Amino acid sequence: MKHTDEETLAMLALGEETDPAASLHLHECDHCRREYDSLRRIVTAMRTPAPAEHEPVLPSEEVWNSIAAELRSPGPPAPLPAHGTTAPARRPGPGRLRRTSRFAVVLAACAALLGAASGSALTWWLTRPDAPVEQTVADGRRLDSLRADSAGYAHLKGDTGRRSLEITVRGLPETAGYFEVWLMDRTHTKLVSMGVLGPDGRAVLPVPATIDLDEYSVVDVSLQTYNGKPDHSGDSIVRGLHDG
Amino acid sequence: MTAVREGAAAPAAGVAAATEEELGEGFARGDEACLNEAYRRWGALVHGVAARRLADPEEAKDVTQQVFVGAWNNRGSFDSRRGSLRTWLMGITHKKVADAFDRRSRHLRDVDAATAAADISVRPAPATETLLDHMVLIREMEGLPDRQQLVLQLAFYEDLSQTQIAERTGMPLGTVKSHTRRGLMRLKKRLEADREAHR
Repeated sequence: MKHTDEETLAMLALGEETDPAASLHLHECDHCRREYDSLRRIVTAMRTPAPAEHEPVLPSEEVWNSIAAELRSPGPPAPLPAHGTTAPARRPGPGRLRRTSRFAVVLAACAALLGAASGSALTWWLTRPDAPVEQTVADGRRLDSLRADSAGYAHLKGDTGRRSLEITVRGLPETAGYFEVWLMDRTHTKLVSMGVLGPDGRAVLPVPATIDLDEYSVVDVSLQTYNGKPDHSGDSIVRGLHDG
Repeated sequence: MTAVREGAAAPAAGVAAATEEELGEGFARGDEACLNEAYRRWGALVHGVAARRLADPEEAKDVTQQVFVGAWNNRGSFDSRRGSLRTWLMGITHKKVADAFDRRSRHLRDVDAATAAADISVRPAPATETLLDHMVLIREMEGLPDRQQLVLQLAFYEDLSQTQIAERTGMPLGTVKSHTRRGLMRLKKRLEADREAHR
């Protein structure tokens, strides 16, 4: 007796139409029946069960409010691993404001000052009543200091065709390394290196005409060491929105 | 990784009319209106699946919240070429449900230990076999090659037929079937190994 092939068994288990002879065979052949039962068990476990009667159509407003509240929280949200298995969506407690890692994703955890791990958080931060008044000086928009002694300013000038980013950081720490300027998105997962700061803590860096500054809305300056690794060190000095 | 694009954005005001594709793009870009719209469209679905799986309204709400918060915080990893926003959200939902069961069974073990010590016989009902299977299989799904994962997600979560999956993904029907078969066979192996281990 010829056994049913795997593909036909798989299709039967999914409830797809197959040759009627195949389902007939299942009644006569224990081997194929067992195979089918195993596959069927998978389909049963994985198929989304049908809605129960009297089930509320929408989760209450309360759930959306909780989502909004969680995203607006100034605490750093835990970044999920790309194939998140166990990372809880709960945010970790305070005290994880800065941490060093060269993985850009983990930079999200550094975002507390900006509350910038999500767009909502950012909007919230900028609009909350006790937010410091946005400070724009001749040097450009004030960035958030991630080191107490440093202060950074960023200004975009020029039209789309010939834009440049002027950046000034005062109170740079002593280092045997160098300071690199980045544009990143608000999740700090996408980064573009713009160049390095001069010895006076200033730089005027060309901005490619093709970059979407609405997406890459954050300027960041990092302290880099000469370790041969081109990644962001995770050690940021200042960070904030540019004024572009 | 999406390329840097300029001006591809659907205006936030028009988000209710946005196609799923536009919504996915906006979501990945960090447009909050798209998060709101995704919740409006699929919040009930996510919550419904969680409620049916978990049979606990409070836990289902919690999972719904985790799904949307998790999706938003992790939106950089959403890749529209690998499936729609809805399918992606359903994948996260199933993972979060599995996580919730994990927590539940850890809790049960704690309760077991405590009741054994105190000789109390009261304990919550154990998860059914189907739920345990679900938990194991969700993990295994994550390890499948992209295309096997996608066709199975569409078959399981979206209840699409093989023909519909072929239309949705643009893969030839034969390819869809073959990915489905290989994926299912690997899940089957995993489940058998798991049962063997618990015998």
